[in-house]
Amino acid sequence: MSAMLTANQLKKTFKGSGGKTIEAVKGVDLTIQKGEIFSLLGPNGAGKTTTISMISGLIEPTSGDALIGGHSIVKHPMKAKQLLGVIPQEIALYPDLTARQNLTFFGRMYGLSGKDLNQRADEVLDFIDLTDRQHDKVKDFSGGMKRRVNIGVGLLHRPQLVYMDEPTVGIDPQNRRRILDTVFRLRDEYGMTVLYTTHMMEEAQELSDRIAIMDHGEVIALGTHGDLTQQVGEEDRLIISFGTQDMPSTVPDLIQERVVGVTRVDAQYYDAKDATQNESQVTIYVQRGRKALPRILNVIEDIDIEVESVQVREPDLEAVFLHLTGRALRD
Amino acid sequence: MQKILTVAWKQLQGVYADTSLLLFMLVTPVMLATIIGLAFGSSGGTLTIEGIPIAVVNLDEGSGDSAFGETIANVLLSDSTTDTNSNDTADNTADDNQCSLITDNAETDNITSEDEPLPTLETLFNAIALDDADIARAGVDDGTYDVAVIIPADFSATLSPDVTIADVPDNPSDIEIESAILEIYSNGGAPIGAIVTRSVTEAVINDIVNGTTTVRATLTALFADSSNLATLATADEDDFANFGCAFGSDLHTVRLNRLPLDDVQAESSFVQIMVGIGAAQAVFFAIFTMNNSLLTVYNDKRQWILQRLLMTPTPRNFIIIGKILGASLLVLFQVGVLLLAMTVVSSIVMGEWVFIWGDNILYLLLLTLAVSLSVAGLGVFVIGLAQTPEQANIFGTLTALGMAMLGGAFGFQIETLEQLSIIYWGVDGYSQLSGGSTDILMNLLILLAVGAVLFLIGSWLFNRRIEV
Repeated sequence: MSAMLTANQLKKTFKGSGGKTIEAVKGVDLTIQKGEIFSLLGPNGAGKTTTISMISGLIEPTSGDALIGGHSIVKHPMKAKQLLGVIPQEIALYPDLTARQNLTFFGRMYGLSGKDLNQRADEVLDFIDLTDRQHDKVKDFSGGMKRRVNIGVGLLHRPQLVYMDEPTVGIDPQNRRRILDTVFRLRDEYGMTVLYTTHMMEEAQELSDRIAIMDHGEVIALGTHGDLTQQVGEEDRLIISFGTQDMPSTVPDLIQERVVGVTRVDAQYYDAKDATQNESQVTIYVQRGRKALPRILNVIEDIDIEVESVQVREPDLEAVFLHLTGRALRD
Repeated sequence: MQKILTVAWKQLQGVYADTSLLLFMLVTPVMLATIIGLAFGSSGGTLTIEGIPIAVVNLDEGSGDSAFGETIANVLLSDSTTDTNSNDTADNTADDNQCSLITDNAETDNITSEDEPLPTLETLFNAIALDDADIARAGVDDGTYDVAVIIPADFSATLSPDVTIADVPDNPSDIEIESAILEIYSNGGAPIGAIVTRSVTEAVINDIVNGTTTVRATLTALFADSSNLATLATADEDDFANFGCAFGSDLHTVRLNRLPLDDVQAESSFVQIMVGIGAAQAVFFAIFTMNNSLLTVYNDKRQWILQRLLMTPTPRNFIIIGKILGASLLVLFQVGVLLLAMTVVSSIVMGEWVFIWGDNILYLLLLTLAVSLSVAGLGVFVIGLAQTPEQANIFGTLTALGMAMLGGAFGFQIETLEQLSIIYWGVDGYSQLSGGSTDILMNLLILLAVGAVLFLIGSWLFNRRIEV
């Protein structure tokens, strides 16, 4: 396998208010192999978009470089961009043009023309299943259909690397499923490499061959799903909620002392004045959580506090992120 | 190139798809000009331009026996009244003139109207001779005169070729003759009628004083004929005193064609207003179109289309050039359609086909191109200057209105400041072409220069605005 994309110490700084320098991306290193579906996962403001903007030539890196198919985005941006297909989160289409006109407009911007352009447009319209609506204006399409045209525009010039930025945001489950299937088709049928950004761990888990987790402008974890979950061990998380009851401060220590296999207990205490602490709860990290649950509930029963709800969470990317940053991915 | 044209095509397509914008661009200016034309000009009737009050100040000190300033002053002052409050110069100039330039005029004029003869200079002007240029200008400012014609002290000296009979070159056209400058002072803030009369006066003066061309033609004619040379060789001082008459005769011949005067006089007042106000409205609305078209860059940015374009293998400059090219073509199309539409409206009102923009199509195209490029430069500058689409809207509207108020789109101009408006230079050019004059080089140069400067500054600013 050879590298489709290589980012070397990509860094981007901005001037903030008051002349303060903001480091949006702090020297990212990435390598994406040909034919790979690679997800970039992270909360809003993690630096995903800035990283991708540099890779796609939208903004210039403050330092560092990225190679697409061996072409530097700094030294040979036109050659690098020719290999890249962009599918933005926004519906970046002219609403007053038809689906076909949008395809041919952007096709021309990739240097396509004549018969070749028409043939590619036909192929793409077939791929996104909009051949029968090709002469309708985009503004008359449903949200899902617009998404499909948006994807089609990014594929028209047969790119080797396709960048998809949260393409399932705001669409119904049926169209979401269709788009995820499209991602697999791009890899499996057309041999394309896909760089997929999302903040939805379920999508990243389902789609990706490898995942990079970004936070505060840095890649904090990178690997397959299995590699990443191993970082938090085989522990499950049990989240036990007590509603607005006052939870004694001894609860975490009692659980950790009396239940075998518990490695960590985080507590949150109800505070009527603090919206972020709208209930009392404990998060218990324990191996084989379902088996440990009865013993944990016995301990709680002795404390004379009523359990309102119990959740058992097996290791996932959310847990990895929480483990690495101490924050939830959606915070 | 394909990429630039693709972006330009999208600019044009956006307008084509927007019916309300098309109506605003093409129908509103014609409607406004038509309404103003019907309100201020009696439809189909002829605007009687007679007795235009002008002040003539002849400061020419002559050159040898030549007194070209006096000749011109006499032409304008023929059958004129004299301002009793000023030092009269008319009575001791007109009578001394031996050439009787005006007398022959009525006999030889090409009278184009079947019903009534066109006015002669005697009826056209109510000229007053003054000897103080400042008083004349003040008179224009306070509305006493529509125009002041000020003949400078070195007028004859500038026009007189520095040669004697003995050193006449083999080719008379080799004689170097400088251009003489006459001042035609008018009030930019005057109402439409005064603007029309100013145009008439300028047209007549242009005919009378065709500077070097006329003198060169006279000399060429004289030297080309050996009998004339013989006459000149034996000429005494009195004969040379008549050189002014030779100049005047030739001048008289030129003026006898009277094409500019005839064209202006033959047009109805409605047509005259359509030319002035219509051209101004066309340029005024073209500024709006340009701004509106370039504003789409903000929409493209908001919809992430601009970012998507910048991620294609297309240089940023191509996208900017494409957008500006599309907007410029749109303006060119708009101005062209408006000029044609105003001709159609004028023809309908007049009851016959009247092409109101003169008969020099090449100059008309050149001027329209220059206007379009100038408007494009202004649009790029305005859009580049603004930091948000809201600012761009405000700047664009203020600029267009400012240019319109200065340049005469609302029926008046603001004196001295008018020349800051590209509308003024456009309208002036169209008015000249309409009157049969092709002396629009200055208009073309100024429009192109202003457009180029604004374009360069605006492009630099615009490039910064599409940073994402």
